[in-house]
Amino acid sequence: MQKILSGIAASPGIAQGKVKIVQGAEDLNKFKDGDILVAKITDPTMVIMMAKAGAIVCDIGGITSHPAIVSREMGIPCIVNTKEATTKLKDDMIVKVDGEKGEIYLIE
Amino acid sequence: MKKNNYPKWIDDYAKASYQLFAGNVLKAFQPLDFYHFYPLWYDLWLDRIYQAIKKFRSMKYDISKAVKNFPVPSSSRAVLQKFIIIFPNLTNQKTDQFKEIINFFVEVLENTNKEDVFAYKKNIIHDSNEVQDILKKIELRKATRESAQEIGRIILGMGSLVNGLYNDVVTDMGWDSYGPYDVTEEMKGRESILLIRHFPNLKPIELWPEYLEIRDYKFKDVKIYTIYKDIECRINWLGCHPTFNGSLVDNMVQYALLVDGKFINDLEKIKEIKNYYLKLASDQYLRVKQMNFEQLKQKALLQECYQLHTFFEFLGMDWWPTKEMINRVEGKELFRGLYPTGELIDFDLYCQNFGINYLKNILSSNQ
Repeated sequence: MQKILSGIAASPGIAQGKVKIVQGAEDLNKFKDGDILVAKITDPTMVIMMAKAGAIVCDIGGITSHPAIVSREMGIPCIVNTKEATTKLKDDMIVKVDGEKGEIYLIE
Repeated sequence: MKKNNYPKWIDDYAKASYQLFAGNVLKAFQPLDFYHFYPLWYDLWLDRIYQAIKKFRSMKYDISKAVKNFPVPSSSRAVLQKFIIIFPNLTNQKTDQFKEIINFFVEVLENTNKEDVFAYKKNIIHDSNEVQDILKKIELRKATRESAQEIGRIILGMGSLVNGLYNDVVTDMGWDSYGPYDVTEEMKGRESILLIRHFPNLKPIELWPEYLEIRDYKFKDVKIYTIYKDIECRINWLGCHPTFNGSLVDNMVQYALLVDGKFINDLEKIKEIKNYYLKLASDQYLRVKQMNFEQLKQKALLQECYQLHTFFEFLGMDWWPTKEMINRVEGKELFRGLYPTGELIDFDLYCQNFGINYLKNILSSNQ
């Protein structure tokens, strides 16, 4: 298993799933339960997807930013400030997100 | 070098308030660069607040009346922080007024929170008798993994709606968390905490007069009581972003959902409420994203003034933005370079650029 990215560990837990790069509400149709939501930063237009996400990964943000706050409340892993999640990860990659360590591993 | 003798609370304030920015960058705050927006008009806002405080003092009201008419404590802290950050960069500075405002806000907070006034770790607004009373009155349900997840998603929905109704730096007006309260004894020896999430106003009609549908939003005041086992919680200055050392879903033991004074016990009804608020939150923020620069500035001006609307109304004063404030922001570009927007903010940078050192200097007894 190859570590592909790291960032600030914002919400603990481990999840594995398909990456979906999300820019806004327009991506709702492609997002399925358990997918890994990857965005530059989340905003409330993405909440329906966030409620389904297995984990959330963002390029920017800190432990008090929107994705971090809501991930903790939902009990799903979240990593922020990865700097390049939206460029390094691609749709439908299978990854494992470790919200405790702040690390993302490529599975497939 | 002569050591300045500044009030001790400033150190507590600095340590607690820094947590908003720790590991964060200013450009993450949306939908406007607020800290380069406020200096356009904040002197006028401070002047009004000073007039309100002066009137309050002249009426010889007990401070408890201010406590009662201030917003939730996290919002009061957020407002205080903005004053301290923005004032050093105002061209029109009335230092004596500023000192009076700061001291008043600190007094309100000292009379609101039972301990840890600046919520470095906790936001304690109830004493132990009040906590006992709460536990007797609320309809607690046993939490399952499913119900814990749904509660988390309701918080996602309501919190995100609040974010869209109020903006990133006024969110606290619509979202606070009280606690954590130690309820180990009540839970029969198992290390347990009670955390109360509060959404005091999910339909701020005054903030969105152009959008009449807000009047028909189903609920206004929601409290979510959650008891967790074997988990530590920290408030970190503002109640909308507590941190925990474990999973909230795995460690939730009991919960109660109080919606406009009525307990909601049915899980299917809870899911309905969740779906309702997820949709509202998404729609509201789409509205925000479609606003142009001028609209965002005017909205941010209104949202900022709204924070103290109850206090102003209590004093019989007008809280709405004045024509002068509106003119100050209309057609104007934001300031640049006053605050570091793209770099991570460490504690030294925070003290230097976000008003702490300035505050120490002007409140020093040597001044």
